[in-house]
Amino acid sequence: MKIAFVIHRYAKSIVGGSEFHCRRMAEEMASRHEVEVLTTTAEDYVTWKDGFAPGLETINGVKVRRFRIKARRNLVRFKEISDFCFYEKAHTADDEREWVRANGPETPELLQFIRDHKADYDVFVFYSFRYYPSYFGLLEVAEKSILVPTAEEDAAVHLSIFADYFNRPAGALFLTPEEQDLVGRVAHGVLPPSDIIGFAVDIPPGLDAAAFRIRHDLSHPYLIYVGRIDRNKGCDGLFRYFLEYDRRKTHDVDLVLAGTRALDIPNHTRVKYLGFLSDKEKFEALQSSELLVMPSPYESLSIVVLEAWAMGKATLVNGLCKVLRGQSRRSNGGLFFSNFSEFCGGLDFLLENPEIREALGRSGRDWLATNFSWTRLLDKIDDLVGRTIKRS
Amino acid sequence: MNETALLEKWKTAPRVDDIMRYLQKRIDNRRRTGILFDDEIRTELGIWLTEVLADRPADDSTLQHYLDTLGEWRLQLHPHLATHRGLPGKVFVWIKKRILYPPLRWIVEQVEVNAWRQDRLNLALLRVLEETVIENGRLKARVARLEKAEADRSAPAPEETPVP
Repeated sequence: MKIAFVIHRYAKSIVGGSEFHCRRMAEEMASRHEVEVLTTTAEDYVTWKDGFAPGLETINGVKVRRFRIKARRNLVRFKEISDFCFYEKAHTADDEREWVRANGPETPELLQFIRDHKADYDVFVFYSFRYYPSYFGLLEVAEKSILVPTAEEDAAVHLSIFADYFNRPAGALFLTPEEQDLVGRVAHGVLPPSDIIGFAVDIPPGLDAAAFRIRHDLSHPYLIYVGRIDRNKGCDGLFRYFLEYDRRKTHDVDLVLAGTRALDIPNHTRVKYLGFLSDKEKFEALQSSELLVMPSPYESLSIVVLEAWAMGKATLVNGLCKVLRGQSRRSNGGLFFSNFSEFCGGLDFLLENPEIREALGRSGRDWLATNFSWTRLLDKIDDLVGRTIKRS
Repeated sequence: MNETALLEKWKTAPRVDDIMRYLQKRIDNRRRTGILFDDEIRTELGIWLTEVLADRPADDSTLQHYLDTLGEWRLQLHPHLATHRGLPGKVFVWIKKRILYPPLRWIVEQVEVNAWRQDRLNLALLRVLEETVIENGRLKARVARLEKAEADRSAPAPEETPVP
Protein backbone atom coordinates (compact mmCIF):
# COMPACT_ATOMS: atom_id res chain seq x y z
CA MET A 1 0.00 0.00 0.00
CA LYS A 2 1.31 3.48 -0.84
CA ILE A 3 0.58 6.09 1.82
CA ALA A 4 1.13 9.86 1.69
CA PHE A 5 1.36 11.78 4.96
CA VAL A 6 0.46 15.45 4.47
CA ILE A 7 1.67 17.96 7.06
CA HIS A 8 2.55 21.66 7.24
CA ARG A 9 6.16 21.19 8.52
CA TYR A 10 8.43 18.15 8.61
CA ALA A 11 12.04 17.73 9.73
CA LYS A 12 14.10 15.94 12.35
CA SER A 13 14.79 19.30 14.01
CA ILE A 14 11.08 20.18 14.34
CA VAL A 15 9.74 19.18 17.74
CA GLY A 16 6.16 20.50 17.64
CA GLY A 17 3.62 17.95 18.91
CA SER A 18 1.73 17.14 15.70
CA GLU A 19 4.86 17.34 13.53
CA PHE A 20 6.73 14.94 15.82
CA HIS A 21 3.73 12.60 15.97
CA CYS A 22 3.50 12.62 12.17
CA ARG A 23 7.21 11.96 11.68
CA ARG A 24 7.29 9.02 14.05
CA MET A 25 4.09 7.57 12.55
CA ALA A 26 5.51 7.88 9.02
CA GLU A 27 8.78 6.26 10.08
CA GLU A 28 7.03 3.35 11.77
CA MET A 29 4.49 2.91 8.95
CA ALA A 30 7.43 2.68 6.51
CA SER A 31 8.24 -0.75 7.99
CA ARG A 32 4.92 -2.06 6.62
CA HIS A 33 4.06 0.13 3.62
CA GLU A 34 5.52 2.46 1.02
CA VAL A 35 5.40 5.86 2.72
CA GLU A 36 5.94 9.37 1.41
CA VAL A 37 5.57 12.70 3.17
CA LEU A 38 4.14 15.72 1.34
CA THR A 39 5.10 18.89 3.14
CA THR A 40 6.35 22.46 2.76
CA THR A 41 9.65 24.26 2.92
CA ALA A 42 8.56 26.12 6.08
CA GLU A 43 10.57 25.86 9.28
CA ASP A 44 9.27 28.65 11.53
CA TYR A 45 5.81 27.91 12.96
CA VAL A 46 4.93 31.59 13.45
CA THR A 47 5.94 33.14 10.11
CA TRP A 48 6.39 29.96 7.98
CA LYS A 49 9.86 31.25 7.11
CA ASP A 50 11.68 28.83 4.77
CA GLY A 51 14.24 26.55 6.30
CA PHE A 52 14.44 23.75 3.73
CA ALA A 53 14.90 23.45 -0.02
CA PRO A 54 11.98 22.37 -2.21
CA GLY A 55 12.21 18.93 -3.83
CA LEU A 56 12.84 15.37 -2.75
CA GLU A 57 14.91 14.16 0.20
CA THR A 58 15.01 11.17 2.54
CA ILE A 59 14.68 11.56 6.32
CA ASN A 60 15.22 8.47 8.49
CA GLY A 61 14.39 6.23 5.53
CA VAL A 62 11.18 8.12 4.56
CA LYS A 63 10.86 9.91 1.22
CA VAL A 64 9.90 13.57 1.76
CA ARG A 65 8.59 15.90 -0.98
CA ARG A 66 8.76 19.58 -0.12
CA PHE A 67 6.74 22.26 -1.83
CA ARG A 68 7.43 25.97 -1.89
CA ILE A 69 5.21 28.26 0.19
CA LYS A 70 3.53 31.11 -1.67
CA ALA A 71 4.08 33.70 1.06
CA ARG A 72 5.05 33.96 4.70
CA ARG A 73 2.25 34.40 7.21
CA ASN A 74 1.17 38.03 7.41
CA LEU A 75 0.74 38.34 11.17
CA VAL A 76 -1.25 41.59 11.05
CA ARG A 77 -3.63 40.18 8.44
CA PHE A 78 -3.89 36.91 10.36
CA LYS A 79 -4.80 38.70 13.57
CA GLU A 80 -7.35 40.82 11.78
CA ILE A 81 -9.09 37.90 10.10
CA SER A 82 -8.89 35.83 13.32
CA ASP A 83 -10.64 38.61 15.28
CA PHE A 84 -13.21 38.92 12.55
CA CYS A 85 -13.98 35.17 12.28
CA PHE A 86 -13.79 34.42 16.02
CA TYR A 87 -15.65 37.44 17.38
CA GLU A 88 -17.96 38.83 14.73
CA LYS A 89 -21.11 36.90 14.01
CA ALA A 90 -21.53 38.57 10.64
CA HIS A 91 -18.70 36.64 8.99
CA THR A 92 -19.28 34.10 6.21
CA ALA A 93 -17.90 30.67 5.27
CA ASP A 94 -15.73 32.41 2.68
CA ASP A 95 -14.20 34.53 5.46
CA GLU A 96 -13.42 31.35 7.35
CA ARG A 97 -11.74 29.80 4.30
CA GLU A 98 -9.78 33.03 4.04
CA TRP A 99 -8.77 32.46 7.68
CA VAL A 100 -7.38 29.02 6.75
CA ARG A 101 -5.43 30.64 3.86
CA ALA A 102 -4.09 33.34 6.19
CA ASN A 103 -3.16 30.68 8.75
CA GLY A 104 -1.14 28.97 6.00
CA PRO A 105 1.32 27.77 5.06
CA GLU A 106 -0.15 28.48 1.63
CA THR A 107 1.25 25.93 -0.83
CA PRO A 108 -0.73 25.79 -4.08
CA GLU A 109 1.97 23.57 -5.62
CA LEU A 110 1.30 20.92 -2.97
CA LEU A 111 -2.43 21.02 -3.74
CA GLN A 112 -1.71 20.72 -7.46
CA PHE A 113 0.53 17.72 -6.78
CA ILE A 114 -2.24 16.02 -4.79
CA ARG A 115 -4.70 16.70 -7.64
CA ASP A 116 -2.30 15.38 -10.28
CA HIS A 117 -1.09 12.33 -8.36
CA LYS A 118 -4.27 11.32 -6.59
CA ALA A 119 -4.24 7.93 -8.32
CA ASP A 120 -0.62 7.21 -7.34
CA TYR A 121 -1.43 6.82 -3.64
CA ASP A 122 -3.82 4.44 -1.89
CA VAL A 123 -4.26 6.57 1.22
CA PHE A 124 -3.61 10.19 2.23
CA VAL A 125 -3.14 10.86 5.94
CA PHE A 126 -3.73 14.55 6.74
CA TYR A 127 -2.40 16.08 9.95
CA SER A 128 -3.92 19.07 11.80
CA PHE A 129 -7.22 20.32 10.40
CA ARG A 130 -6.49 24.03 10.81
CA TYR A 131 -3.64 24.38 8.32
CA TYR A 132 -3.89 25.10 4.60
CA PRO A 133 -2.34 21.82 3.30
CA SER A 134 -4.68 19.63 5.36
CA TYR A 135 -7.84 21.66 4.94
CA PHE A 136 -7.69 22.19 1.17
CA GLY A 137 -5.72 19.00 0.44
CA LEU A 138 -8.23 16.70 2.12
CA LEU A 139 -11.11 18.16 0.14
CA GLU A 140 -9.33 17.06 -3.08
CA VAL A 141 -9.06 13.39 -2.08
CA ALA A 142 -11.68 12.97 0.64
CA GLU A 143 -12.67 9.41 -0.35
CA LYS A 144 -9.15 8.08 0.22
CA SER A 145 -8.20 10.27 3.17
CA ILE A 146 -7.66 9.71 6.87
CA LEU A 147 -7.68 12.82 9.07
CA VAL A 148 -5.62 13.18 12.23
CA PRO A 149 -7.24 16.44 13.42
CA THR A 150 -5.08 17.12 16.52
CA ALA A 151 -7.96 19.34 17.67
CA GLU A 152 -7.91 21.37 20.85
CA GLU A 153 -10.70 23.22 22.63
CA ASP A 154 -10.08 26.65 21.08
CA ALA A 155 -11.93 29.13 18.88
CA ALA A 156 -10.74 27.65 15.55
CA VAL A 157 -12.41 24.29 16.04
CA HIS A 158 -15.79 26.05 16.30
CA LEU A 159 -15.55 27.75 12.88
CA SER A 160 -18.54 26.63 10.81
CA ILE A 161 -16.55 25.33 7.81
CA PHE A 162 -15.00 22.62 9.98
CA ALA A 163 -18.39 21.24 11.00
CA ASP A 164 -18.78 19.84 7.46
CA TYR A 165 -15.08 19.24 6.94
CA PHE A 166 -14.87 16.76 9.83
CA ASN A 167 -17.41 14.55 8.05
CA ARG A 168 -15.54 14.53 4.75
CA PRO A 169 -12.61 12.11 5.31
CA ALA A 170 -13.08 8.37 4.87
CA GLY A 171 -11.76 7.86 8.41
CA ALA A 172 -10.33 9.74 11.37
CA LEU A 173 -7.63 9.01 13.92
CA PHE A 174 -7.83 10.76 17.28
CA LEU A 175 -5.15 11.09 19.89
CA THR A 176 -7.47 10.85 22.91
CA PRO A 177 -11.15 10.09 23.69
CA GLU A 178 -11.55 13.78 24.68
CA GLU A 179 -10.45 14.90 21.22
CA GLN A 180 -12.85 12.43 19.62
CA ASP A 181 -15.63 13.79 21.79
CA LEU A 182 -14.79 17.43 20.93
CA VAL A 183 -14.73 16.80 17.17
CA GLY A 184 -17.92 14.72 17.47
CA ARG A 185 -19.64 17.68 19.17
CA VAL A 186 -18.66 20.28 16.59
CA ALA A 187 -19.12 18.11 13.47
CA HIS A 188 -22.44 18.05 11.63
CA GLY A 189 -23.99 14.59 11.71
CA VAL A 190 -22.15 11.37 12.46
CA LEU A 191 -18.36 11.22 12.32
CA PRO A 192 -16.71 8.88 9.82
CA PRO A 193 -15.32 5.59 11.21
CA SER A 194 -12.52 6.41 13.62
CA ASP A 195 -10.14 5.07 16.21
CA ILE A 196 -8.03 6.47 19.05
CA ILE A 197 -4.32 5.92 18.55
CA GLY A 198 -2.41 7.97 21.14
CA PHE A 199 1.33 7.67 20.80
CA ALA A 200 4.11 5.18 21.59
CA VAL A 201 7.19 6.45 23.40
CA ASP A 202 10.72 5.38 22.44
CA ILE A 203 13.28 5.71 25.24
CA PRO A 204 16.80 6.32 23.93
CA PRO A 205 19.43 3.86 25.19
CA GLY A 206 22.31 4.68 27.55
CA LEU A 207 20.68 7.27 29.82
CA ASP A 208 22.84 8.59 32.65
CA ALA A 209 20.80 10.74 35.02
CA ALA A 210 23.64 11.26 37.53
CA ALA A 211 25.97 12.62 34.84
CA PHE A 212 23.16 14.86 33.60
CA ARG A 213 22.70 16.37 37.07
CA ILE A 214 26.41 17.11 37.37
CA ARG A 215 26.59 18.54 33.84
CA HIS A 216 23.75 20.96 34.55
CA ASP A 217 24.66 21.67 38.19
CA LEU A 218 21.36 20.39 39.57
CA SER A 219 21.93 19.73 43.25
CA HIS A 220 18.35 20.06 44.58
CA PRO A 221 15.33 17.88 43.92
CA TYR A 222 13.34 19.42 41.09
CA LEU A 223 10.04 19.52 39.24
CA ILE A 224 10.46 19.68 35.52
CA TYR A 225 8.57 21.34 32.71
CA VAL A 226 9.53 20.31 29.17
CA GLY A 227 8.15 22.03 26.09
CA ARG A 228 7.75 25.45 24.55
CA ILE A 229 7.97 28.04 27.34
CA ASP A 230 5.01 30.08 26.28
CA ARG A 231 1.96 31.87 27.66
CA ASN A 232 -0.25 29.60 25.53
CA LYS A 233 1.23 26.63 27.39
CA GLY A 234 0.27 28.06 30.77
CA CYS A 235 3.88 28.83 31.74
CA ASP A 236 3.12 32.32 33.08
CA GLY A 237 0.64 30.71 35.50
CA LEU A 238 3.17 28.05 36.43
CA PHE A 239 5.74 30.75 37.31
CA ARG A 240 3.20 32.59 39.49
CA TYR A 241 2.15 29.41 41.26
CA PHE A 242 5.68 28.12 41.77
CA LEU A 243 7.12 31.38 43.12
CA GLU A 244 4.19 31.72 45.52
CA TYR A 245 4.63 28.07 46.55
CA ASP A 246 8.36 28.58 47.06
CA ARG A 247 7.76 31.66 49.24
CA ARG A 248 6.14 29.37 51.83
CA LYS A 249 9.26 27.17 52.02
CA THR A 250 7.31 23.99 52.62
CA HIS A 251 9.66 21.88 50.46
CA ASP A 252 13.17 22.24 49.16
CA VAL A 253 12.46 21.94 45.46
CA ASP A 254 13.53 23.72 42.24
CA LEU A 255 11.64 24.28 39.03
CA VAL A 256 13.64 23.21 35.98
CA LEU A 257 12.57 24.28 32.50
CA ALA A 258 13.66 22.80 29.19
CA GLY A 259 12.57 23.88 25.73
CA THR A 260 12.36 26.86 23.42
CA ARG A 261 11.77 30.15 25.23
CA ALA A 262 8.92 32.36 24.06
CA LEU A 263 8.33 34.07 27.42
CA ASP A 264 10.52 35.82 30.01
CA ILE A 265 11.63 33.39 32.71
CA PRO A 266 11.70 34.79 36.28
CA ASN A 267 15.18 35.54 37.52
CA HIS A 268 15.02 33.43 40.69
CA THR A 269 17.50 31.06 42.32
CA ARG A 270 14.88 28.29 42.39
CA VAL A 271 14.02 28.51 38.68
CA LYS A 272 16.57 26.99 36.31
CA TYR A 273 16.40 27.15 32.54
CA LEU A 274 18.37 24.48 30.68
CA GLY A 275 17.61 25.61 27.13
CA PHE A 276 16.69 23.21 24.38
CA LEU A 277 17.73 19.64 25.21
CA SER A 278 18.55 16.76 22.87
CA ASP A 279 16.18 13.80 22.95
CA LYS A 280 18.56 11.79 25.16
CA GLU A 281 19.10 14.70 27.58
CA LYS A 282 15.35 15.29 27.78
CA PHE A 283 14.84 11.73 29.02
CA GLU A 284 17.76 12.08 31.45
CA ALA A 285 16.19 15.28 32.77
CA LEU A 286 12.90 13.45 33.29
CA GLN A 287 14.63 10.49 34.90
CA SER A 288 16.38 12.58 37.54
CA SER A 289 13.35 14.77 38.33
CA GLU A 290 10.84 14.25 41.14
CA LEU A 291 7.87 14.76 38.82
CA LEU A 292 6.74 16.50 35.64
CA VAL A 293 4.49 19.53 35.82
CA MET A 294 2.33 20.40 32.79
CA PRO A 295 0.34 23.66 33.14
CA SER A 296 -0.98 23.81 29.56
CA PRO A 297 -4.73 24.48 29.29
CA TYR A 298 -4.93 23.35 25.63
CA GLU A 299 -3.60 19.96 24.58
CA SER A 300 -4.84 17.35 22.13
CA LEU A 301 -2.20 14.95 23.45
CA SER A 302 0.74 15.81 25.64
CA ILE A 303 3.60 13.63 24.41
CA VAL A 304 5.90 14.80 27.21
CA VAL A 305 3.39 13.59 29.82
CA LEU A 306 3.51 10.16 28.16
CA GLU A 307 7.32 10.36 28.15
CA ALA A 308 7.35 11.13 31.88
CA TRP A 309 5.18 8.07 32.52
CA ALA A 310 7.45 5.98 30.28
CA MET A 311 10.26 6.99 32.69
CA GLY A 312 8.09 5.99 35.65
CA LYS A 313 7.56 9.58 36.83
CA ALA A 314 4.35 10.95 38.29
CA THR A 315 2.82 14.08 36.78
CA LEU A 316 0.97 17.15 38.04
CA VAL A 317 -1.11 18.64 35.23
CA ASN A 318 -3.60 21.42 34.55
CA GLY A 319 -6.99 19.90 35.33
CA LEU A 320 -8.78 22.59 33.30
CA CYS A 321 -7.49 20.78 30.21
CA LYS A 322 -9.92 17.93 29.64
CA VAL A 323 -7.32 15.83 27.80
CA LEU A 324 -4.70 16.03 30.55
CA ARG A 325 -7.29 15.39 33.24
CA GLY A 326 -8.67 12.39 31.31
CA GLN A 327 -5.21 10.94 30.69
CA SER A 328 -4.30 11.26 34.39
CA ARG A 329 -7.51 9.54 35.48
CA ARG A 330 -7.28 6.72 32.94
CA SER A 331 -3.64 5.96 33.68
CA ASN A 332 -3.65 6.70 37.43
CA GLY A 333 -0.28 8.23 36.61
CA GLY A 334 -0.61 11.67 38.18
CA LEU A 335 -2.67 14.38 39.85
CA PHE A 336 -4.21 17.56 38.51
CA PHE A 337 -4.96 21.07 39.72
CA SER A 338 -7.39 23.75 38.66
CA ASN A 339 -6.47 26.47 41.16
CA PHE A 340 -3.60 27.50 43.38
CA SER A 341 -4.78 25.59 46.46
CA GLU A 342 -4.95 22.39 44.44
CA PHE A 343 -1.52 23.08 42.96
CA CYS A 344 -0.04 23.43 46.47
CA GLY A 345 -2.07 20.52 47.83
CA GLY A 346 -1.07 18.22 44.96
CA LEU A 347 2.58 19.20 45.06
CA ASP A 348 2.81 18.86 48.86
CA PHE A 349 1.15 15.45 48.69
CA LEU A 350 3.48 14.17 45.95
CA LEU A 351 6.62 15.47 47.69
CA GLU A 352 5.59 14.22 51.14
CA ASN A 353 4.69 10.74 49.89
CA PRO A 354 7.57 9.51 47.71
CA GLU A 355 6.28 5.93 47.71
CA ILE A 356 2.87 6.99 46.39
CA ARG A 357 4.58 9.28 43.88
CA GLU A 358 6.62 6.35 42.61
CA ALA A 359 3.53 4.14 42.52
CA LEU A 360 1.75 6.74 40.37
CA GLY A 361 4.74 6.82 38.00
CA ARG A 362 4.73 3.02 37.76
CA SER A 363 1.01 3.01 37.14
CA GLY A 364 1.45 5.52 34.28
CA ARG A 365 4.23 3.40 32.80
CA ASP A 366 2.13 0.22 32.94
CA TRP A 367 -0.85 1.98 31.32
CA LEU A 368 1.39 3.24 28.54
CA ALA A 369 2.92 -0.19 27.94
CA THR A 370 -0.50 -1.86 27.83
CA ASN A 371 -2.21 0.62 25.54
CA PHE A 372 0.39 2.26 23.34
CA SER A 373 2.93 0.16 21.48
CA TRP A 374 3.90 0.78 17.85
CA THR A 375 2.56 -2.64 16.81
CA ARG A 376 -0.80 -1.85 18.36
CA LEU A 377 -0.92 1.62 16.78
CA LEU A 378 0.00 0.38 13.31
CA ASP A 379 -2.55 -2.45 13.57
CA LYS A 380 -5.24 0.11 14.40
CA ILE A 381 -4.35 2.24 11.39
CA ASP A 382 -4.26 -0.75 9.04
CA ASP A 383 -7.61 -1.86 10.38
CA LEU A 384 -9.18 1.59 9.89
CA VAL A 385 -7.79 1.87 6.36
CA GLY A 386 -9.10 -1.63 5.58
CA ARG A 387 -12.57 -0.66 6.84
CA THR A 388 -12.85 2.71 5.14
CA ILE A 389 -10.83 3.00 1.96
CA LYS A 390 -11.58 1.07 -1.22
CA ARG A 391 -8.39 0.28 -3.07
CA SER A 392 -8.14 -0.24 -6.82
CA MET B 1 -10.89 3.20 55.70
CA ASN B 2 -8.79 5.57 57.84
CA GLU B 3 -6.14 7.93 56.46
CA THR B 4 -3.14 5.74 57.29
CA ALA B 5 -4.71 2.69 55.68
CA LEU B 6 -5.55 4.72 52.56
CA LEU B 7 -2.03 6.07 52.22
CA GLU B 8 -0.69 2.56 52.69
CA LYS B 9 -3.02 1.22 49.99
CA TRP B 10 -2.01 3.91 47.49
CA LYS B 11 1.64 2.91 47.82
CA THR B 12 0.85 -0.16 45.74
CA ALA B 13 -2.41 0.69 43.98
CA PRO B 14 -2.88 4.44 43.60
CA ARG B 15 -6.30 5.63 42.44
CA VAL B 16 -6.16 9.17 41.11
CA ASP B 17 -9.87 9.86 41.66
CA ASP B 18 -9.61 8.77 45.31
CA ILE B 19 -6.44 10.80 45.89
CA MET B 20 -8.02 13.89 44.33
CA ARG B 21 -11.09 13.49 46.59
CA TYR B 22 -8.81 13.12 49.61
CA LEU B 23 -6.86 16.26 48.64
CA GLN B 24 -10.04 18.23 48.02
CA LYS B 25 -11.26 17.27 51.49
CA ARG B 26 -7.93 18.41 52.96
CA ILE B 27 -8.23 21.78 51.20
CA ASP B 28 -11.87 22.17 52.29
CA ASN B 29 -10.89 21.42 55.90
CA ARG B 30 -8.18 24.05 55.79
CA ARG B 31 -10.69 26.54 54.42
CA ARG B 32 -13.27 25.68 57.07
CA THR B 33 -10.81 25.98 59.91
CA GLY B 34 -9.48 29.26 58.54
CA ILE B 35 -5.97 27.99 57.99
CA LEU B 36 -5.84 29.62 54.56
CA PHE B 37 -3.58 32.63 54.87
CA ASP B 38 -4.53 36.10 53.71
CA ASP B 39 -1.94 35.93 50.95
CA GLU B 40 -3.34 32.59 49.89
CA ILE B 41 -6.78 34.14 49.58
CA ARG B 42 -5.27 36.97 47.56
CA THR B 43 -3.52 34.46 45.32
CA GLU B 44 -6.79 32.53 44.98
CA LEU B 45 -8.48 35.77 43.98
CA GLY B 46 -5.80 36.47 41.38
CA ILE B 47 -6.17 32.97 39.98
CA TRP B 48 -9.97 33.18 40.05
CA LEU B 49 -9.81 36.44 38.09
CA THR B 50 -7.36 34.89 35.61
CA GLU B 51 -9.74 32.01 35.04
CA VAL B 52 -12.83 34.20 34.80
CA LEU B 53 -11.09 36.55 32.40
CA ALA B 54 -9.38 33.83 30.35
CA ASP B 55 -9.95 34.08 26.62
CA ARG B 56 -13.23 32.41 25.82
CA PRO B 57 -15.49 32.68 22.80
CA ALA B 58 -17.18 36.07 23.10
CA ASP B 59 -20.64 34.50 23.12
CA ASP B 60 -19.86 32.49 26.24
CA SER B 61 -21.63 34.82 28.63
CA THR B 62 -25.17 34.81 29.95
CA LEU B 63 -25.37 38.60 30.25
CA GLN B 64 -24.24 39.02 26.67
CA HIS B 65 -26.93 36.62 25.61
CA TYR B 66 -29.53 38.88 27.21
CA LEU B 67 -27.92 42.03 25.81
CA ASP B 68 -27.90 40.50 22.34
CA THR B 69 -31.68 40.18 22.41
CA LEU B 70 -31.82 43.98 22.56
CA GLY B 71 -29.79 44.33 19.40
CA GLU B 72 -26.35 43.79 17.99
CA TRP B 73 -23.94 45.31 20.49
CA ARG B 74 -20.64 43.51 19.85
CA LEU B 75 -17.74 45.52 18.54
CA GLN B 76 -17.94 45.87 14.74
CA LEU B 77 -14.70 47.24 13.37
CA HIS B 78 -14.87 46.05 9.81
CA PRO B 79 -17.10 48.24 7.66
CA HIS B 80 -19.77 46.22 5.91
CA LEU B 81 -20.18 48.31 2.80
CA ALA B 82 -23.13 47.19 0.70
CA THR B 83 -25.69 48.87 -1.51
CA HIS B 84 -29.21 48.35 -2.80
CA ARG B 85 -28.98 51.16 -5.38
CA GLY B 86 -27.71 49.17 -8.33
CA LEU B 87 -24.78 50.37 -10.41
CA PRO B 88 -24.52 53.93 -8.96
CA GLY B 89 -24.48 52.43 -5.47
CA LYS B 90 -21.72 50.00 -6.47
CA VAL B 91 -19.65 52.94 -7.73
CA PHE B 92 -20.07 54.74 -4.39
CA VAL B 93 -19.11 51.58 -2.47
CA TRP B 94 -16.07 51.16 -4.71
CA ILE B 95 -15.02 54.79 -4.07
CA LYS B 96 -15.51 54.38 -0.33
CA LYS B 97 -13.61 51.07 -0.21
CA ARG B 98 -10.76 51.81 -2.58
CA ILE B 99 -10.27 55.58 -2.36
CA LEU B 100 -11.67 56.97 0.90
CA TYR B 101 -11.06 54.05 3.24
CA PRO B 102 -7.31 53.38 2.66
CA PRO B 103 -6.08 56.86 3.72
CA LEU B 104 -8.37 56.72 6.74
CA ARG B 105 -6.99 53.33 7.74
CA TRP B 106 -4.45 54.78 10.21
CA ILE B 107 -7.25 56.52 12.13
CA VAL B 108 -9.23 53.29 12.18
CA GLU B 109 -6.19 51.46 13.56
CA GLN B 110 -5.81 54.07 16.30
CA VAL B 111 -9.46 53.70 17.22
CA GLU B 112 -9.30 49.92 16.96
CA VAL B 113 -6.67 49.55 19.69
CA ASN B 114 -8.73 51.62 22.11
CA ALA B 115 -11.97 49.99 21.07
CA TRP B 116 -10.63 46.48 21.70
CA ARG B 117 -9.23 47.63 25.05
CA GLN B 118 -12.62 48.96 26.06
CA ASP B 119 -14.30 45.83 24.72
CA ARG B 120 -12.00 43.62 26.80
CA LEU B 121 -12.70 45.69 29.90
CA ASN B 122 -16.44 45.44 29.27
CA LEU B 123 -16.22 41.67 28.87
CA ALA B 124 -14.10 41.40 32.02
CA LEU B 125 -16.58 43.42 34.08
CA LEU B 126 -19.51 41.40 32.75
CA ARG B 127 -17.81 38.10 33.57
CA VAL B 128 -16.76 39.17 37.05
CA LEU B 129 -20.28 40.42 37.73
CA GLU B 130 -21.75 37.21 36.39
CA GLU B 131 -19.45 34.98 38.47
CA THR B 132 -20.19 37.07 41.57
CA VAL B 133 -23.94 36.69 41.01
CA ILE B 134 -23.57 32.92 40.57
CA GLU B 135 -21.40 32.62 43.68
CA ASN B 136 -23.85 34.77 45.65
CA GLY B 137 -26.71 32.52 44.52
CA ARG B 138 -24.80 29.43 45.63
CA LEU B 139 -24.02 30.96 49.03
CA LYS B 140 -27.66 32.02 49.57
CA ALA B 141 -28.85 28.49 48.76
CA ARG B 142 -26.27 27.06 51.16
CA VAL B 143 -27.23 29.45 53.96
CA ALA B 144 -30.92 28.60 53.41
CA ARG B 145 -30.14 24.85 53.64
CA LEU B 146 -28.11 25.35 56.82
CA GLU B 147 -30.82 27.52 58.41
CA LYS B 148 -33.45 24.94 57.58
CA ALA B 149 -31.32 22.14 59.06
CA GLU B 150 -30.76 24.26 62.18
CA ALA B 151 -34.50 24.98 62.50
CA ASP B 152 -35.34 21.27 62.07
CA ARG B 153 -32.86 20.35 64.79
CA SER B 154 -34.16 22.92 67.30
CA ALA B 155 -37.89 22.27 66.65
CA PRO B 156 -39.61 20.28 69.50
CA ALA B 157 -40.23 16.63 68.64
CA PRO B 158 -43.92 15.95 67.87
CA GLU B 159 -45.82 14.36 70.73
CA GLU B 160 -46.55 10.71 70.27
CA THR B 161 -50.17 9.94 69.56
CA PRO B 162 -51.42 7.52 72.22
CA VAL B 163 -52.49 4.17 70.80
CA PRO B 164 -56.18 3.73 71.46
